[in-house]
Amino acid sequence: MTSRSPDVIGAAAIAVLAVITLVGGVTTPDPGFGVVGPAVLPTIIGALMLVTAIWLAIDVARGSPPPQTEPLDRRPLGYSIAATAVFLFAFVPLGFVISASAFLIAQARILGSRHLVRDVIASLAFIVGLYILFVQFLTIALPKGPLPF
Amino acid sequence: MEIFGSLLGGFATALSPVNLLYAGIGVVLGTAIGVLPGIGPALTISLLLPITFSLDPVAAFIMFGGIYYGAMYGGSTTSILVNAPGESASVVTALDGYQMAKNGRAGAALATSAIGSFVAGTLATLGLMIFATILVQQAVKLGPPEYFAIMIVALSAVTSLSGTSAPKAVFATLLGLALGLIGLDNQTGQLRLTYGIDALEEGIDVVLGAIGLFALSEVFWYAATLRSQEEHRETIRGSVWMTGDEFRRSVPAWLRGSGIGFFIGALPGAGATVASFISYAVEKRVSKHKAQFGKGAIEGVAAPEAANNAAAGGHLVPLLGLGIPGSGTTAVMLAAFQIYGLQPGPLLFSTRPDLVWGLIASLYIANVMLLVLNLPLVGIWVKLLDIPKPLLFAGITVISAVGVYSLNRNAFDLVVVFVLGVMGFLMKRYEFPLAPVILGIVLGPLIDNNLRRGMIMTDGNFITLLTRPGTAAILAVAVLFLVLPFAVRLYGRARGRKDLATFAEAPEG
Repeated sequence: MTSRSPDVIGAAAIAVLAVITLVGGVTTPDPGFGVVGPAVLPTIIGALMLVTAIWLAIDVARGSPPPQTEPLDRRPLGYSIAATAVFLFAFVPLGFVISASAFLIAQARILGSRHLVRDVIASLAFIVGLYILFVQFLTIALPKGPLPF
Repeated sequence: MEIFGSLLGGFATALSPVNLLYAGIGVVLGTAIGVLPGIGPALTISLLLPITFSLDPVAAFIMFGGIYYGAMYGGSTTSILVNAPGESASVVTALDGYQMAKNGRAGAALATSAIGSFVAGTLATLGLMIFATILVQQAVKLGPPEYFAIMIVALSAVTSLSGTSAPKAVFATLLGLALGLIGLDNQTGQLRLTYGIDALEEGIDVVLGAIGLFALSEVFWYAATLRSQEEHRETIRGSVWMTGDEFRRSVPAWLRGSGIGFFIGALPGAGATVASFISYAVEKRVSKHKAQFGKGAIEGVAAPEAANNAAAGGHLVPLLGLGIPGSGTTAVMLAAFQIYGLQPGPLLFSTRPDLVWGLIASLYIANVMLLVLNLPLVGIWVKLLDIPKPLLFAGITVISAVGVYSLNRNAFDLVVVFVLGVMGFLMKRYEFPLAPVILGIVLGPLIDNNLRRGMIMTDGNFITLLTRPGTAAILAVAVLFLVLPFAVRLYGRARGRKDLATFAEAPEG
């Protein structure tokens, strides 16, 4: 019964992060000046994280109610995460204009929009607007990619 | 009477045409993001940080103040008309607000929340002025040990007041602290928690935390709950105004909400969301119309809307007086101060009175602007809900990417923000609070710094550090924060009082 609670996985994930933090803390070299070295606080935080992992596990074992999760829409969620990953990784190499236009149109469709023409027009207008705001008014350069702008 | 001289100076700053313009931009943006789901004030200020590099800090903070107050006004509109709160601090408003709208009293609900927000915002700004000045006079006596203790109070409060599961809240805080410590240690030049990744040397900016945890995770959340998204929008019938009876019932609720909101907000770590929940509970207890609660009681709209606005003013007290943020939004504002090389606290009051008092004065002005924007013009804001949600959420991701990239022109930051976005989604789904993570990122290096400097003062004796009179008193408050909510809940359960049994179990703010 308790093995079904997602909090079991949560406690395990916390334990993993705790160990990573703890290792990072313990392996920080101490240059030896000052009273408290740079390794102390990260180590304490890692140790306390481990305590919260055990605490959460005990809570689950004692039968505390699992989080009330709604059924997931797996497909739009998976596609959104994938599209976002591709967009963020392509942002610099492909440039803002190409990556953002492609992402906007694709993501709107993933999120249930069925008006392709409207989405294309709105996306391009939005991209042009953002481009003018950042590059022209604020003179903040955005990645160009293969395009000249 | 020194305050009034300073305040007059502040008004002279705030009333300059340029600063009025930025206050205006701030309140319009703030109301818009308050109405729109998925974006809040912490995120908006994060996204605007790169843009404000080129601005004068006075103008930038006047704009941020307008955004913060405006978001609190705007959040109520969607709660009332669509039963979908635009901000977590307006969740409780939806309980009675949407019922009022269904009963055809949408106009009255919107009016009581707008006027209540104005009353509360103005009173809270007055309180901010008085308490921040007092705090500043005391703060000069505080050393690193006391600052360390106050930050422990902030973390205890945000931990004990957010979410239902204590280990999850504590973990969220620790995760934030760990993220905050990544990178170069400024006392020894040692690299910490970078695991050999060069790109982590600069550390993880709080802006990345806010955008990943508050923006990308919201988009993923929307995608994951696509099937359950449907909207029944109520229309405003008749004028946006109250009857005499509704007005008489609103006034005491506004005042109680303002008081509760300000003082809860001023405690570092307690959010506007908690303030709105507590003031709703109080109203329900003192009301003569108990049976109406949940079915459209006007007090149930008036009090929490006053409380969340007053809490925004309250949050600025520890930020301006001590330089210690108590909420996600003020944490990002502290980051903004640091970008300008400014440290809020006693020193800022003496070195940059134009900034501090200009900001305070502009908050009064912003309240007046917001009353106009939200009462007669409320119909325009409702139109924002016509933006197709798929395009809105796709657009949030694009703006996030642009904001993150323009911060450091660093492609690696985009990877960090993606990881934080997925993590934020998982945490939200499994009921881990997110606000403590943001607060932890900002407070991590500050706690580390003050602890280590404090330990030098006490020759490495931690007990001496904890038992200095100031530190001991402050830490006693931290213990109180950790114990009190649990004690109240236990008492409530023992006495069968459901309102107390779930005391302060609010979502993060």
